[in-house]
Amino acid sequence: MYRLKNPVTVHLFIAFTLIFGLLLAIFPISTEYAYLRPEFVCVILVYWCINIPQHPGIFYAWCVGLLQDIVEGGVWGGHAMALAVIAYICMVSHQRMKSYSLWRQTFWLFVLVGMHQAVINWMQGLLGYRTAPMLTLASSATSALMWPVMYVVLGRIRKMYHVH
Amino acid sequence: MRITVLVLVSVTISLAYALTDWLSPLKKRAIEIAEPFYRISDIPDSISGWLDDRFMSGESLAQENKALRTEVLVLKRELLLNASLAAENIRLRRLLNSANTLDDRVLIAELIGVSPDPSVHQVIVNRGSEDGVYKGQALLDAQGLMGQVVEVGKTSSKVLLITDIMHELPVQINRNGVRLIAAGMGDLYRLRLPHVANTMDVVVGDMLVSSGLGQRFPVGYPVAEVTQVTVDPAKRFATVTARPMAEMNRSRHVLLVFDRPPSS
Repeated sequence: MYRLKNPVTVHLFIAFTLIFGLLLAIFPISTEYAYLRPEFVCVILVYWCINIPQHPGIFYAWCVGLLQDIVEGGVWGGHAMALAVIAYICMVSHQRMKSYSLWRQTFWLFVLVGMHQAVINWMQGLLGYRTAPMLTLASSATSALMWPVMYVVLGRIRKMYHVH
Repeated sequence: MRITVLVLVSVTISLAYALTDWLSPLKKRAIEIAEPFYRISDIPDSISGWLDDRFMSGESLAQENKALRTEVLVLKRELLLNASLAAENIRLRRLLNSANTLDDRVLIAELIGVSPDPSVHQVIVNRGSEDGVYKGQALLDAQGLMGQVVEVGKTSSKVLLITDIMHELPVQINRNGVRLIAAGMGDLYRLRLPHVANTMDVVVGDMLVSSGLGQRFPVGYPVAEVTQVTVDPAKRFATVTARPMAEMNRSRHVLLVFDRPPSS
């Protein structure tokens, strides 16, 4: 068993999971289903912000978002702003969110990812791309449905490596 | 407090990205940062391709070989016909005192990624400035024109497809040479032809080829086939849509056309 106590290793560990999320976010799937792709990076970031609020700071979230913008090729600053805002909300309210039941968290995640999608949509709108609002909600819904799975999987990993 | 600063910084970056070209030197570096991610996410696909190549039964291999041989024969016959037509074309062009059309050189490339945002029709190919790829270069598949290179990295480049909402290209009807514009509408299977007069001679089934008027695309590559023409006398223009010839979401092996010297 490894114990990750050093803050640097914890940071690296979180970065590793986020990069894995980023890989899932760009994994090629058919355009017909692309609207249903969950926002992996956002969900993983929310998990860490709720559970280890002292580690991934707002600036950290912002940098991850900027990396996502660069990799995905959208308007730079879009994901950065969205993730920074989401991280801020989660960190301010992490104690309350932690006390929610899993299903209530799931609903709350739907709202959070919806906000994330709204910000991204505004930013993409600067280039003239338009997505129907209902379609963005589809991805928020799948992200929310992903939450219980993510909660269990990341919880396991966290216990395995004693990340606190 | 910090969140306000970060939001303001993000908005500034986004506005600079979308409305100015201050960030364009950085965009070139961006594709190099993005490339490893796309290469990694492409691994499952390339493994399945590799497995398909390796573990093929002798029977199916022989079958494929036979089919390919027949196809080569058919294509060779067409090529023979083409050679005489090309020669005739050159003679006629000489009679008209106009310049010969150049033979285009092509480079085979492979898609390594597609834009994760379904409303953005961009793909990433595994060729970059090291292979002589340049900005504005045309990308084809076996069926027709797919798009143009918009960002060139060292070993990969980003291509904007003709179906993207930001893309428009000059085309002409192959049958009668009428010039039109084909605009993307964010749908992989449809292009919009704006400003077509109600009296214009365009019918369903017309083939649209690139006209080369924008000095961007090479002349004469198939772009789309007209699928719908609706003439409503009450409206100023006819509503015309076309279906791209290229298989936008299926082609993995694509061609980059060099219609100008690679040095430029």
